Amino acid sequence: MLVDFKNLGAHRNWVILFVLGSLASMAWYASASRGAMDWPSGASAPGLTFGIIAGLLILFEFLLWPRKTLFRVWRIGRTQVWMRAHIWLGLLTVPLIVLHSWRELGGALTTTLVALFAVVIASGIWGLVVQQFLPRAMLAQVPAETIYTQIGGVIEGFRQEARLLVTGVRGELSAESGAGATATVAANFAVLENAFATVIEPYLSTASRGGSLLANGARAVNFFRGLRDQLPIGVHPTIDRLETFCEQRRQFALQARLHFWLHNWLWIHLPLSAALVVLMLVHVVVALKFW
Amino acid sequence: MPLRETAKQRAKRIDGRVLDGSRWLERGRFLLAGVAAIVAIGWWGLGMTFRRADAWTSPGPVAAVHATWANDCNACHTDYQAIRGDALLASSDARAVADQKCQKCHAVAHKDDLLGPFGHHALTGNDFQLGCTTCHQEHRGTSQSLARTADGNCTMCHARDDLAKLVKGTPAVADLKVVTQFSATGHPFFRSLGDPELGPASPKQVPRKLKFAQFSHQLHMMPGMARDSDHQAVWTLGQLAEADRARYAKKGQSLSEPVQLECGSCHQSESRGIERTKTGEASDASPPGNSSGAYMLPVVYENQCRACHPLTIEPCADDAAKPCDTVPHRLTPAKLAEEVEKYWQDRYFKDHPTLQRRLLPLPGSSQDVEYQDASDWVREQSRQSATHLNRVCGKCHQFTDEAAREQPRQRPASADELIDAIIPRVAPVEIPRKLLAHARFDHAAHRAVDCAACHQDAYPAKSSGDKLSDSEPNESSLMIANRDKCRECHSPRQEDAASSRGGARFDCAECHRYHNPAAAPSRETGTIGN
Repeated sequence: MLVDFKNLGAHRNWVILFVLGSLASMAWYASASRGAMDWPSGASAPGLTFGIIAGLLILFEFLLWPRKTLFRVWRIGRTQVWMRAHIWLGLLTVPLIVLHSWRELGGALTTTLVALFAVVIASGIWGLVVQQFLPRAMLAQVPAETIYTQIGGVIEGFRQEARLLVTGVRGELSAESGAGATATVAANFAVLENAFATVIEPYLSTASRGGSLLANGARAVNFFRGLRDQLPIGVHPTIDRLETFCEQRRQFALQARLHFWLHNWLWIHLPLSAALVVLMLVHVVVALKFW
Repeated sequence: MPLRETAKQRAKRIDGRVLDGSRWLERGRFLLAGVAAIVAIGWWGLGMTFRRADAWTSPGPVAAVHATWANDCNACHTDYQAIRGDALLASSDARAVADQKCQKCHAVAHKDDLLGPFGHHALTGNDFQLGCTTCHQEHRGTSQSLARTADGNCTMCHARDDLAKLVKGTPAVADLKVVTQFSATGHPFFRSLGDPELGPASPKQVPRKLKFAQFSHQLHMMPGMARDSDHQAVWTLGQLAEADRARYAKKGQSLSEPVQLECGSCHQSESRGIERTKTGEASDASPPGNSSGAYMLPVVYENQCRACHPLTIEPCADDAAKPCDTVPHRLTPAKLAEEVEKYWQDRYFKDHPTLQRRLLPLPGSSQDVEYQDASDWVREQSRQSATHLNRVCGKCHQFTDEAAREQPRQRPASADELIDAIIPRVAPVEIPRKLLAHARFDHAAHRAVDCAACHQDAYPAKSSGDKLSDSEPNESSLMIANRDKCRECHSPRQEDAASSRGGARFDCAECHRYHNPAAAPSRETGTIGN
C-alpha cells in the first residue's frame, strides 16, 4: 500500500487517529506519573488501559490475515481499508505497549513478548517501506515483468526458442553465401553455435545461478556486438533476437530479487505475529493471576 | 538497447494455465505461522510441566532475603488478586490479605500500639491506599534492599503542608515542618537536639532536660579536671586507687601527672560491653558484646564515676594510700540510712572491742548506759555522715526538694528522722539512651570520624583558661551537632579545587525508619536511672 502525498487523503483520518492516540496516551501517562513515587506500572490505571487496548489492537491486526485469505468471498469491508487500519493501528500499538511496560522487561515471558513485538513491528515497517519503492522500481526497471512463479517456465521457453533460432541459422547462412561457400558457412555457424552453447544457452537455463557475462547489461551488449562483427549481416536478426531473450532474462533476475525483498519479509512477520498472539494471551492470564 | 516483446508475442509464449500456479508462498507462510504458534504453546506447556512457568512469569528476581520463596508465588500472591501498590483493580481487602502474608514474618505493629496498623502514625483516611507494597516493591533483583525505600514514599506525606490533617491525634505533628529532601532548605533542624533558629526561649523548642545537678564535659576533659589556685592539676593519678590507675593512666605516666580523660574513658560502645561483677563493680576483663555498636553504653556510676567520685561515708583526704570507706551507689534513703548506721555501729564496736554487745541489756545496768552512749555516738556520726553525703550526692544530683539541700541539721531523734530530714531524695536522672528521637544513628558506622567533629562543645575551648564552670546548663543543647554537620557528608558529592564534601547516602531511609516503634514518643527515650 502506498503512503504518499498523492493518497494522503485516504490515510488522513488514520494518521490523525494515530497521532492523537499517541499523544493522548503519553499525556495521560505523564499526568499519572507526576507526583507518583515511581513510573506507573502495567497494572496501574493508564498501564492497564494501554495494555488492554494494545492487546485488542494486536488481535485486530492479526485478523488481517484471515480477512485476506479465508474471507475472500465474504468480504467484511474493503481490503484497502483493512490495510490502512492495519498499518496505523499497528503503529499505534507501539506507544501503548511501551507505556504499558515502561522500563520493565520483566521475566522470560514478557521479555520474549517484547522481543517478538519488536521484530513484528520492525518487519511490518520494513514491509511498508519496501512497498513504497520496490513496485515502482519494478515497473521502471522490469518492463518485461511476468508472473513471478512462471519466470522459470518463460525462461525455458526462451531457451527452446533460441535453440530453434540457432539451428535455423545454418540454412540462412548457406542461402546467403551461395553454393561455393560451405566452409565459410560452417565457420560462421561454428562461431554462433559456440557462442550459444557456451554463453547464451547456459544463461537461458533455469538452473543458472549467475556468474555469466550476460548477467551484466554492458558486457552483454559488447558480447553481442562482437558476435555481430564476426558474423554476416544476414544473421544479425537472429543475434538481435537472442539478445532480446538475454535482456528479458536479466529483467526476470531483477524481478526475482525485487520480489524477494518485496514479499519475503512476511516469512518473519506472519509467523512471529502468530507466536506473539499466543504468548500475549498467556501473558494476560498469568499477569492477572499474579499482579 | 533492450528489444521489447509485444503483448501478443508474450501471450503466445505464456501458457494461460500459469494463473492457476502453485500458491506455495501463501501456504508456506500459513504453515510456518502454525508452527510458530505451536512452538509458542509448546514452550509454555513445557514450562508448566517442568514448573518453570512461574519463574518465567516473574517480572524479576526476588530479593535475596526472600529467596526461599522465589519459586512459590503464592507465598505472597493470592491468585487473581492485585497487590501491587498502584494496581488499578486492587481492593483494600486484597491488600489486607497480602499484608497479612507479609506480617507472618514482619510484625510491624503491636496490639496496643497507638499508631496505625504499620507502626507509624495512623491516617485519618486512606487516600493513599497504603499497603506493604505501596513502599516495598519486590522483584527488583536479588541485591535490592526492600527496607531502603524511595524518598517519595516518605515525602508523599511529609512534603505536604496539610500533614497535620492527615494524621490522627498527636499534637506534635502540628509542628512538623515540610520535608522534601535532606538539604538545608528541604529538611528542618533536628527537633530533639533543639532548633537553633528558634532560640532557647522559644516555646516550640523541645530541649532535653537532664535532671543532673552538675556536670561539665569541658571540665572533665581538662587535664586533672580542674586547676587549683596554684594552677596545679586537681586530680592526679596518684590520687586514684591502685585498681583504677591502670584504666586511666597513659603509657609512661607518673603518679604525679594529672588524669587526662578522653571520650572513651566514659563513653563506650555497646559492642564492647562491660560486665559488672557480683558486687556491682565493673570488670574490664569482659568479652565484646553482641551489639552492633550503634549507641553508647549507659554511663554507670560504678564504671565511669566512682574512681574519682567515691561516695565516702565521712570526709577524708584524697589519699590513695588510705582509701576511704564508701557506701554503695543507688541506695534508697532508707537503705542508705541503714548502711550508714550499721557502719558506725561496726566502727564503734571496732574501737571499743571490750564492749560486750547484748541484744537485751538489763535496764539500769552499767552496760545499758554504755549502750545508750554508743547509740548516741552512732547517731551523731550518722548525722555527720548524712550531712557529708548530702554534699557528696548533691555534687552531681538534683534533689526532689532543693530547699532541703542547705537545711540546718539537728541530731535526729530516730532513724526515720535521719532518713527524711537529712538525706533528701535524689531526683531521677533522665539521660536518654537515644538522643535523636526520630532517627537512627550508628556510632560504629562513624567510627572513622573523630568525636570532636560532632561533639565539639564537649571539649574545653582554648580560651577557657584554667577555670571552667562546674556545671553546664541542663536545658541547653546537647553538644551534639545538628543537621548541617551531618550534611557535610550526607549530601550530593561536591568537589572543587580546595576540598570535597558529600557523597554519603542522604535518602530518608538512611536515618529514618517507618515501622520503628521508636517513632512512638512513649517508647522512644528508654530513660535510664531510677
